[in-house]
Amino acid sequence: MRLSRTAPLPVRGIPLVLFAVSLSGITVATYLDRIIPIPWETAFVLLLILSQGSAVEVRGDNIVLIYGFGILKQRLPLDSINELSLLSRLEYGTILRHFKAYALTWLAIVLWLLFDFLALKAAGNPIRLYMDLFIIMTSLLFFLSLSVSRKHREILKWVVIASSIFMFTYPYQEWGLRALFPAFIFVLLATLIVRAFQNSDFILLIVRGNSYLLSSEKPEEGLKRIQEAIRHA
Amino acid sequence: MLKLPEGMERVWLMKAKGMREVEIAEALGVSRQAVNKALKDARVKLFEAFFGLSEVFSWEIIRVNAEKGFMVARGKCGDRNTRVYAFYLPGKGVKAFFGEEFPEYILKHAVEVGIADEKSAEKLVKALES
Repeated sequence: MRLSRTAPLPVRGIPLVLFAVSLSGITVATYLDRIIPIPWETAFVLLLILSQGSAVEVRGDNIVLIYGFGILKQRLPLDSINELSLLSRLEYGTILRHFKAYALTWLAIVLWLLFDFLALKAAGNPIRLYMDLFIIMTSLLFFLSLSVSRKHREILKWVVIASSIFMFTYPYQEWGLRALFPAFIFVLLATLIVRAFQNSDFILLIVRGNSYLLSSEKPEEGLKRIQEAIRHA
Repeated sequence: MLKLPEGMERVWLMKAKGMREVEIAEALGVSRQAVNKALKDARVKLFEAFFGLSEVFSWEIIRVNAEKGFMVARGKCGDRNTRVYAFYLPGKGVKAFFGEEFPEYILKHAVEVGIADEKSAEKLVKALES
């Protein structure tokens, strides 16, 4: 039985390793290309796709988390579940608390790209320099979404406003009026991505002391299916 | 009201207080497999108890922890929606509370099983909600 509109996030095990390697790989692909000229970006994008969760199924006495269109699977025995919660609806619940490595991957991307932007000047490539700004902003907002609880969500609004102002003023100062249109598109895109992420609900499963995270557009239904499965295990 | 069988409850409580399965087995003079089986059964029974309770009162489940024996839900109290916190108390079964005020014995129980560090309602709510 498949849980509708529910997918696992790459927060532990092989999916997490693939996610962290591919995401950081994409940001250093330009430099790797200078050492060994192979299509690094394509390779890292494929790895990123492989790390993404595609479905959650209840099969017999297990919950099966499926990643990369069925290539990777994690089986969680139903009778070993210690906790089941709607993490996004807990007043002080944050993803960072349970999934430090996943959240810190986003922070590492921000720090590396800041270094690339400020010190290395994106290897002299103006398009990449601009892309750096966009990815820094998006990754920072993602990191904050993972570390701010429902109770303190107001902070995020102010960070979005502050970073949007920066996304307009910095390119305008550097490159003039022609930079404003792409800046507008980037701000819109970053806000939409983060908003979509924030609007998703997250189901937390703790099995034998290990935590797993599912993103769900129908969390109540997902929770009910898991409840039924535990009852019949 | 659901109560775990005495032996199963003893094993569950020892685990909830932080003992390892091997230590429980040694203390009770049983095999580690028997402890593991008792814990699995206890978890399923506790999930069943909390799910059943939320179904009867039409509460919306937010968190169920079978290891420490508690549930966070959203339910109606009169006309308004409010938080419901339920706990499994050894020998007594499940007790539920609306809002953020708890009697002394719940605060004591929460410290005993390691849900909260201190006997404070504020600390307990923070632990349940994070």
